[in-house]
Amino acid sequence: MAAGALNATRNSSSYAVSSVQLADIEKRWEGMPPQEQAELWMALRDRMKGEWKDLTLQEKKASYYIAFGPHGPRAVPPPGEGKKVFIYTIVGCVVSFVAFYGMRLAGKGSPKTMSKEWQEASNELLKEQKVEPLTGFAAEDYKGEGMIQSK
Amino acid sequence: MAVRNYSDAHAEETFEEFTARYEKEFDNVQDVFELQRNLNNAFAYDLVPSPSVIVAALKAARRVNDFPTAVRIFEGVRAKVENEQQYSQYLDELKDVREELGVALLEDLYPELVLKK
Repeated sequence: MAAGALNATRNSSSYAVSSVQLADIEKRWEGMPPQEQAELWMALRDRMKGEWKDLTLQEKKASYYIAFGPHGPRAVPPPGEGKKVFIYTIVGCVVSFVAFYGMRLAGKGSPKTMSKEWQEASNELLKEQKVEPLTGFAAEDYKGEGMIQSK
Repeated sequence: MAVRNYSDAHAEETFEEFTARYEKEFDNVQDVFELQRNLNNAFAYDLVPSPSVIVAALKAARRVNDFPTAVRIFEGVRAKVENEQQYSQYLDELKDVREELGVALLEDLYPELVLKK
């Protein structure tokens, strides 16, 4: 019984997790299959049951990285993300500018009614036909612009 | 002039009461979840938990064999204090327990992950 218990503790924490398993864990962790992740974490957990002073630097780093490293929900945005967003925003603005003025270039000019002469003539017609004689176009004290909107 | 004591029923908790409460909480911690829940709560106040609370938390981390969380506790202190000087005062105060438990600092493990003040 005692020997078994001793063995159990020995298996659980006496030997450091091999440095091959922990090498470059920061780069490999996310790509590791879940089974391997679980096994490695269990091995580290068993090591943490012993004296923390006995942990190798690699084990300390690996256990911290797995628990709180920048992966999963703590992942940091990829480098240059802000620059990328800025560039794509500018590209979008340029494309819409080109599309809008391109269509304007291909289209016809403004309609014939949008000239000062036409609109003055419209005013004449309104007065002649006595449109709105009390408060509007044909009233004697009318001071508004009438139909004139083109300069 | 009338004084309105709308929240008179709930007395303001003093720093000493806070310290006593969280020392007790951390002493009763039995698993990692409880440890981390209490840490989140203790570090959510507008104060830096006193060294005795930190010691209780570190001992709780040791009890549940959670090395990374012990490292994280010092990260929390670093985030809560106002300046480097206060942080090093905390480190001095906690030097003994830190060495006794063998807790590393993030500065030694991943200097690049340390938050800039």
